Amino acid sequence: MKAIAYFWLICLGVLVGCDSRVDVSAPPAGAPSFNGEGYRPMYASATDLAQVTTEPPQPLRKPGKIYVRGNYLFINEQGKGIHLVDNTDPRKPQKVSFIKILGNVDIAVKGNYLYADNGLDFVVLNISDPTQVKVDKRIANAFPSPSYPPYTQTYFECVDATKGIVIGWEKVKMSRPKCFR
Amino acid sequence: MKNSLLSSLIALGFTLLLGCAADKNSDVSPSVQTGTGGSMARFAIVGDVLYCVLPSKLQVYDISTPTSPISKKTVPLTVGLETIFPYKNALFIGANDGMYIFDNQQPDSPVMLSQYFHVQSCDPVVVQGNYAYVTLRGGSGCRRMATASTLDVVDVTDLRSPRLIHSQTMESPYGLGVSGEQLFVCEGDRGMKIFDIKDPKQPQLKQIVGDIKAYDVILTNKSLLVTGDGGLMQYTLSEQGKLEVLSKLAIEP
Repeated sequence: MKAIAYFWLICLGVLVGCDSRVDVSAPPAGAPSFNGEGYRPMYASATDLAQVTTEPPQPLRKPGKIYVRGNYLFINEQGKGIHLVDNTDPRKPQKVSFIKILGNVDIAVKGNYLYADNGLDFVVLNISDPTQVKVDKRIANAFPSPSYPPYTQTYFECVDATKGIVIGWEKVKMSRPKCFR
Repeated sequence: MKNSLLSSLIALGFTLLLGCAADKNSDVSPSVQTGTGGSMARFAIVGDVLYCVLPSKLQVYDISTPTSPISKKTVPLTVGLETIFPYKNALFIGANDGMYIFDNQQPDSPVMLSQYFHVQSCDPVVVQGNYAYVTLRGGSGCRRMATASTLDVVDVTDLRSPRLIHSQTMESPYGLGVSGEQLFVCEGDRGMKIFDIKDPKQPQLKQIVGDIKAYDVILTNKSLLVTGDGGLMQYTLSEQGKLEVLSKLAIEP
């Protein structure tokens, strides 16, 4: 009798576990229990996202991917932009500027052009003057809108599109959110 | 009797769970002119072509006019693509369910040659000669089940039929880099491991750099760059294989 109960419990767990929806009010079987911390989407408005600006050097806080071209290093600041660093002398790398590109994760450079994701948009920046970078091209909606954080087995606040475009995720203390994946 | 029934039911449930995990899609990570990204890069430039690995497709842009990328080809793939590594005339794409190999002799029109499947994981890949080095990270961040993390060596002599030839257990591997006889594997909070690959089929652990947090590594002719939660470290590597710190760009509060 007990075995049968177990069986159904397992079946239920399997069903829930296989559910591809992310919005679940109960976490699937086998999921780690909620530990008080989850991911919260960070939003920006389309207007803010379109503001790509060159700013003075800024502190490194949450560095993401890096890209090297010639004497320059490009260090992504997760969801915020790119630190441009003169690495002519690798013993003394010098920060030159910070390019604010909200929602940025990836970078590639060819010649004087930097290709980057800017939230949902794809932008081409002219970096011939690293202290005055300018947007030469913007391709709107080149990238899909994220509906969950880039991690699995994790709890997160469900995305609410009315709040803006998701430009990143931060891990914060919260009461158990509705979404899990 | 009751017990054996119970355990077989549990085993059945487990099998179903595993099967489900394997089915389910998850995540959605050079020349003088062009630069180099790390092994976690999702953008890569080859000649006049920019490849963007999106969660479920490979998007190809022609950038011969640098300021107006033209969308050339979109290759829909599985959900969970993460990284791209161009090598010679091929593209190696790391995904949650394995590695995809494309021929890109015609850069704006890559053609899929093969897929190398394994259990779900996060898996950047680097290639040197006839061997691809792939890290598979287990644990909560990536693999669904608490499976082991590994460093796999895949023989890609025949790009149409990649073969696993070696696998060894890792702790929590992320990005990796290869240069000559050395392979560098980032192990997150556990630092970076350096392997001797004189025999490219059998990486031998040589050194552990445990005092840093390592997420990805880039090798340039000037330095070895390692990124992580602590900031950006640059090293030189002596001929004896000793790492010397050149500089550190630290995280500021």
